[in-house]
Amino acid sequence: MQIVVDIESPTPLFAQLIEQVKRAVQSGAKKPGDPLPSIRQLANDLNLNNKTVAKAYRLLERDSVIQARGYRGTFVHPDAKAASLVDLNELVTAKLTNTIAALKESGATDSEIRIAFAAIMNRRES
Amino acid sequence: MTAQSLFFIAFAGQILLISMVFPQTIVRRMTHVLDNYPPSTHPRLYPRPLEHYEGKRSTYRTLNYVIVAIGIAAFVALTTVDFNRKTFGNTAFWYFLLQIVPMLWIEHTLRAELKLMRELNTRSTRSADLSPRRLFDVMSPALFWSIVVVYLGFWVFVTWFRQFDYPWFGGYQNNLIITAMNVFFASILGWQLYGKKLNPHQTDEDRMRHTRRIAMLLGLVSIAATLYAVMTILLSAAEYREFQPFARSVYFQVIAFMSFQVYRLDDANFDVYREDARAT
Repeated sequence: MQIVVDIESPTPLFAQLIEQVKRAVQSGAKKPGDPLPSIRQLANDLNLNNKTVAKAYRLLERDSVIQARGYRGTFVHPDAKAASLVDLNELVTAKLTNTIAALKESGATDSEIRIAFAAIMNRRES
Repeated sequence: MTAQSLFFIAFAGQILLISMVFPQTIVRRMTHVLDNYPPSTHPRLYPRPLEHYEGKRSTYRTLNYVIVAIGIAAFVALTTVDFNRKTFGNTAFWYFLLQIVPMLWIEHTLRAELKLMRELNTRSTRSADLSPRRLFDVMSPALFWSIVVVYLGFWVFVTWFRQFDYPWFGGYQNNLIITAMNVFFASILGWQLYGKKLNPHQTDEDRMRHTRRIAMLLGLVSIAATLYAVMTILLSAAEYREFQPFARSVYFQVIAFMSFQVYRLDDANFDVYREDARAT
């Protein structure tokens, strides 16, 4: 199973990786429990920064598409097929779009929304 | 047959095999590539003009001719002196170091070409296999366990041998050297397996084939070097030290024979170097 990234595509590289891993799972090319290459191997093969691949793996792990098993490596998650159908980024974007539209209807300005959003996120992180 | 006669036979073989027979095979392979995959059909294979590669081939051939001439001169010089284990053994050793210079030069040249290939690679797409590469993908378990058994056997041998208290015996220093060699080989293999792809056009299949050959070479050289160390110690203990120069020369030939097997092209995919080739 080959993975192809386009360095000139407007889509971020980590997003291309995520999309292709999910596509591999959906098509059955990668089944639950199948091993995946290490971050270092994939980054070297694609001539990408390790952090780019690490970010893609982290987000795939968050979405339950892959799971890291310590020194044994990274594997396709048992629930990967179902998980790869859900695009959390799309979900977040849709919900935020609706929320922002509702706030604007209530009279909030762009900067007020940005400041409030940043304040809430900062409070959560601290 | 005397140790001196055996050495001369082996040394003649060392000159002929390492500086004539094997380099000629390499030159034939270079010629085969230049004739069958020219820049007109495979432009991605040639980051520089064709004349540059023909020049490199010619330099490689000349270098080996010069080394053969030096070898013959050394051979003749040794026939005029009395047999001395150290002198003869050292001659075989230093001459072998000279013999591998063209190989190292070719390897260095190849790396420079691959660097240029990467710089000139204008493709925006890059591909990789979505499967992990593991040691046993490139090395047979039989070879791996043979290396382990020979290595552990060497520890047992050295530990056993220490009881005889020979003044010349280096003891565990031998283990240190063999361990350092194996660690070095393991790091080369690790770099081959997980390191950056040097050739931007090489297919994953070709890369794996090449890595398998390197793994096989490193494994066999590890075993050969360990067995050679055992043999050297045994020859010394049995007072057959005069045969060491002969054994050393034969050992170099075995190592060189295995090393030249890595430079094979018969199963490489040259279609990737065509102008219209897809990204690899």
